[in-house]
Amino acid sequence: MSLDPRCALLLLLAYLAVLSSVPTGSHLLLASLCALPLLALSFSPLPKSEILAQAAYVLPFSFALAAIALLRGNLPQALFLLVRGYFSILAALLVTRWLTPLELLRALERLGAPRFLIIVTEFLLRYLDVLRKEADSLRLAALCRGGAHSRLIASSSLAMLFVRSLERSTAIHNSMLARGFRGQLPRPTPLLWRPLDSLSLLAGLSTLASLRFAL
Amino acid sequence: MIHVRGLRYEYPDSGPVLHGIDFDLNPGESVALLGPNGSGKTTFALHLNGILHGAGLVTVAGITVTPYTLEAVRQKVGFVFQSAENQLFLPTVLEDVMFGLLNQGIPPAEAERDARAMLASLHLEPFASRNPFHLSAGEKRRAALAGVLVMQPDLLILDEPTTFLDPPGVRELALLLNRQSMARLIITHDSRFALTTTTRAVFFEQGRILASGPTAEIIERFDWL
Repeated sequence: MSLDPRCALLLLLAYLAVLSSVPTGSHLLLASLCALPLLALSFSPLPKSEILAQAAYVLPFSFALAAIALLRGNLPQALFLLVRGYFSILAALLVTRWLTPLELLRALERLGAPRFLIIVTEFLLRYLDVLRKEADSLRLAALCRGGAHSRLIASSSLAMLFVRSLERSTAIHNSMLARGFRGQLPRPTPLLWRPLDSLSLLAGLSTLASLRFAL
Repeated sequence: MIHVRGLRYEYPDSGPVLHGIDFDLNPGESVALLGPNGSGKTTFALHLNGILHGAGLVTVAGITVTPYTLEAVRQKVGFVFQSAENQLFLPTVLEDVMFGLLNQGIPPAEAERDARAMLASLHLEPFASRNPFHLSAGEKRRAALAGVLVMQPDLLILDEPTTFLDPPGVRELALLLNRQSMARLIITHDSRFALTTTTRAVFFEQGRILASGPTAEIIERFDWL
């Protein structure tokens, strides 16, 4: 039995809030908080080494911030920034890899994210492969006619892709209108919040709160 | 079923496209719209469910098409567009087939039951939870058709339904369409397909209907095979 995606998102937000509030020097609290996503990862069926490596992508950005702390001669703060950055991304990756993109979008929508943004993202997800295929076709057509990889070809292909996308979006809108679209995408399977979700959320929040205030 | 009188339309950027079309379609009748590219066939069809609004009278199933009757008209008219890719815009086939039903206010559980039944009748049940992008051209065409047929329209309009279909796919589609009892309007360049799926054809040229009659006769008259 899996959790409602909203529960996972709320727990993630709470975790990030607590992690970002850890004062420099609270080593035990930081270690406990860092152990949580590692624990979750160890019990999950997700590819562990891949996720641990992906979370490291944030390190160059964190290094920039840590460098400022270092320049001020504050090594502990620099290390704290690196660790917090890494584990924030690790937790976010855990949730986003555990949920499907659609579950994530539905959860965000139900939690009050702008509906327009959600619909646009949903359409982007649906048509990303189509756009990629069209871009490949344009590139291939250019190469077949002797075109080399150049900025000119890339920019004209991009312009053509934009025009095609515009035409496609008109056609999609027409087909939506033809089937009775009135500005709101109907949701066939509403998210179902069960007692288990309440319990999980309560347990998660209590754990975070007790760690934050006890350590 | 359809009653059109004096329909005129012009696109803002390309001048007049329809020059006073008169057209009638009887309930249950299947008619092919033939004619060269740019002759106004699709533009005409888009008026039948109010996607476009020109000058003249358009009545569908007793309802005059105006900006105020679109909801009722679109419940009567099912439109399968030329590009199935553009018609299947939701992330899964099942959600897409349910889209029209949910817009009609049908409860989700009932809509899902009907959508699954429709998918099963078109041999698409195994693809219900798949992303439409990963279907073959024939499967996409059938899924697009499922999303329209499930709404039980009184009139089915198909714009170039054989595009990208291989010969077995075309045959399968023809069989499927011939099983339907509602009125059908089929825009096509495929004369053989028109011969097997329609009894009457009208020939468009430069925004006018030049002739109407039995499909075989029209195809022969305009050398359209």
